[in-house]
Amino acid sequence: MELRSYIIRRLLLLIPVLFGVSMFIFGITMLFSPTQRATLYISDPRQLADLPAVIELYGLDQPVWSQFTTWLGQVLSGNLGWSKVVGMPVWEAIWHYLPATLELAIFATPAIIFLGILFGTTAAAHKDTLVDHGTRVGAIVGWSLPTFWLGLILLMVFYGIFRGFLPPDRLSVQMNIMVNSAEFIRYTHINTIDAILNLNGPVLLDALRHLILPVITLSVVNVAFIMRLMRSSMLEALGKGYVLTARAKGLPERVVVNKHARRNALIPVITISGYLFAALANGVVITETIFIYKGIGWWAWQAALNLDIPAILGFALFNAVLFVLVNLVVDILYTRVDPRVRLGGTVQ
Amino acid sequence: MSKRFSKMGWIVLAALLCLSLVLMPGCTTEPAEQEEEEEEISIPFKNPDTFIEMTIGDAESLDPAWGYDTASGQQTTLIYQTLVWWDGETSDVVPVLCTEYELLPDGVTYRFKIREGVKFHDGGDLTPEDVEYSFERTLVQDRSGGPVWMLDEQLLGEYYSPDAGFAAIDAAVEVDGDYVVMTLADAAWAIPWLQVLAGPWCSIVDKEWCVANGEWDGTEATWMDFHDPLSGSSYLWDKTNGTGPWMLEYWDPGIEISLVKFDDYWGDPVQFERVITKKVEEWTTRKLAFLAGDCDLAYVPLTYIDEMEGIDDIQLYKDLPNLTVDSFFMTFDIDPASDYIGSGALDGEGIPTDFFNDIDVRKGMNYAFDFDVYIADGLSGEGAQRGSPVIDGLTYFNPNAKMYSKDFDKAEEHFKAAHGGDVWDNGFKFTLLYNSGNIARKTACGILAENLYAINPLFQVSIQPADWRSVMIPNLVTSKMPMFQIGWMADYPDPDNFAFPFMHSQGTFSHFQNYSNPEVDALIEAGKFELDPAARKDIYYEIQDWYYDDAPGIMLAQGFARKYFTKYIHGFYYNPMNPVYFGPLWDMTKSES
Repeated sequence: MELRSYIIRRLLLLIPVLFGVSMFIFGITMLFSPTQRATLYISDPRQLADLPAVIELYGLDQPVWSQFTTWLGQVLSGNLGWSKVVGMPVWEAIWHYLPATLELAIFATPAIIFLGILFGTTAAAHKDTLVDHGTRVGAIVGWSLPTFWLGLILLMVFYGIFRGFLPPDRLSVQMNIMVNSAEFIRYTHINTIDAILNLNGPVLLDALRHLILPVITLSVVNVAFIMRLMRSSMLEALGKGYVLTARAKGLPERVVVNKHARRNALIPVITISGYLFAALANGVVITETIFIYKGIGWWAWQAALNLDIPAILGFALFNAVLFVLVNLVVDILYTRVDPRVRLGGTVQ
Repeated sequence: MSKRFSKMGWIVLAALLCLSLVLMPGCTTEPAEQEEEEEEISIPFKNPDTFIEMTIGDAESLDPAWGYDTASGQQTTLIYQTLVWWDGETSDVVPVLCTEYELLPDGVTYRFKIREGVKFHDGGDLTPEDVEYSFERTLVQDRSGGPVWMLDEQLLGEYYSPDAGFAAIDAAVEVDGDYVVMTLADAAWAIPWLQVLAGPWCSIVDKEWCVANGEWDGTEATWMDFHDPLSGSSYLWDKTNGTGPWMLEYWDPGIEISLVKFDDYWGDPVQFERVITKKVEEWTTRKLAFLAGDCDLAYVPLTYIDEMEGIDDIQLYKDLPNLTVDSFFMTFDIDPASDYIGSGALDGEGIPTDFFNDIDVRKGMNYAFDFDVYIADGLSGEGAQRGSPVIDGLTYFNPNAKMYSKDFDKAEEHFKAAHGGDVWDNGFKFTLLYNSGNIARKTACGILAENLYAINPLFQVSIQPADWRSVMIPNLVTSKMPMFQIGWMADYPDPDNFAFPFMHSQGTFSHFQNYSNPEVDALIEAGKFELDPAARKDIYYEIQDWYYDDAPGIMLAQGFARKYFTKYIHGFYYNPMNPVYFGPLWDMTKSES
């Protein structure tokens, strides 16, 4: 199948997916009573007497279908509604909070994949040796560490004991003032990319300094995921006939492992890596909160806590789009890694 | 050999793992270790011209007519100004955007001479027309759940501006040359009105700027289009143009607000070039940032005050009385559909819906409660018991008001007399809810439940944490909770602002507990409109006695505040009515000395 028509076909699938997701989430949120949903607009007990007025103003006591069609009508006209918890339109909130999360995902995903593949390959190539056991135990320990614990410990050590060496937040006060000034153009709101585009070294270095701890936290916790998969996939590949052939040809072990076996073992890792990126890009609440690296996960968390229904729906739609797109990219990547895979067809 | 070695490897690694889990520092350390560690800490001096606060709240809106939360009030107080402001640490006011004011002999008309030479941030001049427009715009907007009811009540004599109509709004505030004339709905508001005027909701905005940006044009034809707007629809929601010493640089909702010094500020020069308020929910992050000198003031929850002991470079202001009070309300007529009253009868398995209608039950509850333990454990000692909602800091607070104290004998006496003796003989069961995470409220529930059980093992109260929004509020507003805890924060420091919501049959809280005492209602209404200070004092003293005698709730405690600054911040003084958490920043400085 031609790549373009394949992409179009897959993107068209988004329509029923989005409709289904929104119906489902909307249905769940309607299980809350109008009073429960009106509490979103109450920031102080002094306002409790005005709950009935709030319910009427926002039409929270309207029939469910009426509220859904109103919302759907808004969405179709390009308006995803108003996110009360952050005081801005939902669409704007997604774009506002996404860059911080993307920045984390952009740096953490390659680190996790690289380390996962490296450790997985090494462990498989040295199966049942100390290297194998050490790598696996290390990875599992990392996987078992709660993010909030590891994040806080790293912060206590590198910000607390080493007095401000690796601080939380996205930028220091001075650099924040700089990026918010008229001289600095915020193309993407991803600080590292903007710093490069503005040719601003100090902002770039500062942004990287602030990325180190959250990226380490995410990597330590997630690397075992890739590593375990890579190890088993590699072991399977190493047992295949073509590896035996390669060895019989007298190829060096390094070439056999890295070129012949590893490339074939990558397919499941690519699948998982896609989901890993999607999982990181739809927010990592605890990491974002501990390191004041607030992104879309923090926003969704706040929305859920406060029953900010337009925000919850907007986030669900964003997630659906993200996963469909990631799936698509993963499918296309298969064809690049394994020439036998054909788009829209079967493995030849 | 290699197989054996790998087994050994496993064992060694597992042992190492176990050891590391034991030896690695946890999220909390033992107090002794902590003190030892923290004694050596010194806070570096950073960001000389910037004041940084790390807190847990964020402004809801920067529109002064909208904001009713303190986080919004904090920002609008720094950006905008009002006609009058609190005089130092007192509840008296002094002129700010007016140079003088007088109350005319009719007792309802105020004349304010508007200050000249005051610039708005965008360069416009302050005029009396701006002042008139600001008040009328606020009255027109009057959003549901907002703060404008105070202006409605005192200027229009109604609770909602549409009930008064546009003509009344228009007539309430008028320009007279260099003066602005305000006509109150009743002479009784003469003193409270000056207090309301100091609130952030009475901030002055620039009429031309507002109209040019699509806000209300000041005419009758359009006023209802701007009444009770949806959240976020006002132009001033996130854009500002005030006369205050700082102007908005940027607002990153949920993350931080940065204000920058306004060079054409008319008043005394201020030191801080920037004022940054950062929302940092995680306590450890806030604490580390404070100790690293990256913020000048950090919000420290009561549960963590021990962690701040023994650090040299901290300035602690403590025992600052807040104008807030928490109470345990008893519901006089519980909704029969309640899930929290067991069988709904006095059969030992529940309580009837009118359980608290009996004065002996209410008094028994009060005598069963241990206020000292509550203050020590629930508030970490940071509070004082009060006998009624008229608390210290409000006019006519009676420091000698009668208060309950734990007395199991008296509690027993009252419970034996309650509901014809059935309470004592049969016992009761009901459920207390508290908003999860609120230690003080959980402690109060625990004290009451334990003490009731100690008085009579048939008195069984279960305690249940609940989500504030999805469980507590819906049950509270439908009178389904047998007892509930909630607190009130002053809008302005007049006793009516507390007596009414707690004790009047139409009060915000008493309404939900279905408490109604015609004598108390009459007293509160008389107190509201009494002009003679001596007579007013008598009325409020009597109201305070009524709270003791009628015992509609267990009045808990007035909380005290603590402020933790680094040692580099100077000039702080406390006024409980100032919504700026870190104090009068315009009078404060930062230096290494």
